[in-house]
Amino acid sequence: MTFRWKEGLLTLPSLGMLVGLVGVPTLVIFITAFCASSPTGGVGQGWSFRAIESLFQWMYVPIIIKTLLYSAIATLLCILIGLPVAYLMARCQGRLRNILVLAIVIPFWTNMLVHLSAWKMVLHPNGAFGKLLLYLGVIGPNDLLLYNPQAVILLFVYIFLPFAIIPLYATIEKFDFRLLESARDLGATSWQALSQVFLPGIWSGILSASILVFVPVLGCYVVPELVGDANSVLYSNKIAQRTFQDRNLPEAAALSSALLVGMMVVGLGYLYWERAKRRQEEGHE
Amino acid sequence: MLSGKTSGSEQPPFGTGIGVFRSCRQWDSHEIRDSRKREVLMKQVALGLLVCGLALLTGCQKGAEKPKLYFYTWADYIDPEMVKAFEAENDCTVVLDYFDSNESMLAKIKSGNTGYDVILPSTYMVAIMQQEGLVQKLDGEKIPNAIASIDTRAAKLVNDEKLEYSVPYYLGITGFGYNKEQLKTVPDSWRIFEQETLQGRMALLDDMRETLGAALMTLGFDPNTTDQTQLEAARDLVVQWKANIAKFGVDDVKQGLANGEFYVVHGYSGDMLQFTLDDPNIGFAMPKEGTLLAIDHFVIPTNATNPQLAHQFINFMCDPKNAAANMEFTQYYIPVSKAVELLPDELRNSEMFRTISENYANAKMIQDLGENNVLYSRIWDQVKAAHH
Repeated sequence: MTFRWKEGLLTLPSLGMLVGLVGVPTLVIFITAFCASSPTGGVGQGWSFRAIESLFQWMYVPIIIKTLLYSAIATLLCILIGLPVAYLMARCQGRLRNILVLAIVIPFWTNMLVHLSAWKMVLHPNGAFGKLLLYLGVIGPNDLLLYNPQAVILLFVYIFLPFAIIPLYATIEKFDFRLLESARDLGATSWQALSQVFLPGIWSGILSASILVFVPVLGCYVVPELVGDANSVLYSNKIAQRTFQDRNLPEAAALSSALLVGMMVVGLGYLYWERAKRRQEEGHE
Repeated sequence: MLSGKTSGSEQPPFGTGIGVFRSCRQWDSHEIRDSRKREVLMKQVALGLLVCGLALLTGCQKGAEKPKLYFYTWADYIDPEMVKAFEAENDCTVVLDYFDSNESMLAKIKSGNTGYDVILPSTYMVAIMQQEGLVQKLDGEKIPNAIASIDTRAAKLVNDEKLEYSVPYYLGITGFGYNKEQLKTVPDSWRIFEQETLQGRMALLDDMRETLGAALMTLGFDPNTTDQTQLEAARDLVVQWKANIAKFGVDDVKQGLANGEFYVVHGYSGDMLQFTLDDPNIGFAMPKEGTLLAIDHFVIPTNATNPQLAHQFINFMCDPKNAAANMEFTQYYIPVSKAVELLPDELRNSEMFRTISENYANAKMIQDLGENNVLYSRIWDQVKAAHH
């Protein structure tokens, strides 16, 4: 019993941090969503369902679809690019592997805004890249490489790629590659070995990489704001607009809460489905 | 050893790094401004760091403590030499802190006793702060320079002729910055945003009141209207403009003009004027349908720790000599006629400065609409959601 006691004490700091720095602020967001708004900004007096009601507008439907689409494309591209990179890293040995890990991690430490402004230079119409494309006839003299949906996706992928590579690498590193050899020995083609042995083996890594990319992309309003066009308004941009331009904190909180609830429903639904499937499999055995 | 040093002329080796951080939203402007500005920025940063260092050291130097004035303002918005001169004259330390939007400033002030002594918000925010009881009444006797020199026409614009709550200081207008190489004629109408030959190379401010206001004025309506049909007409016009612009933005739009990405941008006069000094290819023009005036005012928050020094600070900055220095540094107009006389000829006679000084008394301003702000939010949502 004394051991448990100690264990409890040891978890206390991290538990306190989790409750104080994640739990309480989240609760504050939920509560704010039910407050009345004040024309002077902040929160007004009394409770109100107006912010929640404001969520039910047709205007949000295309925005939600666009946001999910952008996030899904960015996630898919991150996984597709991240898989071979992580595979290569896991197959390398010693110093080369360390160098590769560093090459992924160091840019990851750089502030996102620095990356963004660097890309704005690369994609500038008077930049070397833009001039090259113009010379090759790929773009016209008045075409901009920036301020379009493709630029938004490109930057999402660029910024969140490390979030995909690192968990993929961690999983692939633990993967027993002898399984692939046995698959080949048992007559599988290389494609079959990949799709039926390798990919299912690292499925948990792919899943966590997807979540780690998809979720932050949903909330990243800076990228569409800086490199998107006049139509690149994603869900997160609406939250930012409610906070900084409309001075309507309850509506911003309602949008954030809806996002949180939506993600929780998806997450819990997946867990439930997974458990049901496992139970079913156990039942068959 | 640091007790007497507030000059900020030393640059700590890590000054540059902090500069990059602080200017996240504004890195764009720094690339193109001349090195003098950059040096001055570094000095501000160095000053800030020194002051922070001082704050840490005061614990062990109780005896040598100087009074402190906490000034909350926009970045690059005061001549650091003037701050130094004020410190020398009053044997005090000025601590500068910056905000990038009126809203974030309000959120901070509302959160409680923040200890700021002087703040420089825009007009509509002054009204909100006054309503919320966040600013204190000014003592006219303690700010004789302001009473004597601030042009009453500027004070009248904000219904505070006696300078009871705020002292109007920096004046700017919105109009367009344009690229002289690409545009053969000077743009003189908001309808320039309808010109299809410039498609993808123009940008509007991501500010619902400014942009809808421009559309309302183009249609001959009041930029503070609450009439739904007028707002809907303005919405349709902005949606039409939206098809031709590259994006809605603020700082990046400014940067885009300076680096050649955009040929016509909607922006504030001071920012654009700073570009015209650096680059003869950039011009600033005012639309004939009308423009919106923006004023930033000195206010003293209710919970200021040193209101006496705060009054002295406002008074010092309203001295014509000092106001002239600030005008030269920021390129924003200050409504002190004696200060304008002190300006170097090229600035005083510059086309834009003359235009502003001659016209500001008739300019329209954005008023806070309280409950009706939501009308604009809804219309702006529709503009943002519109597709072609």
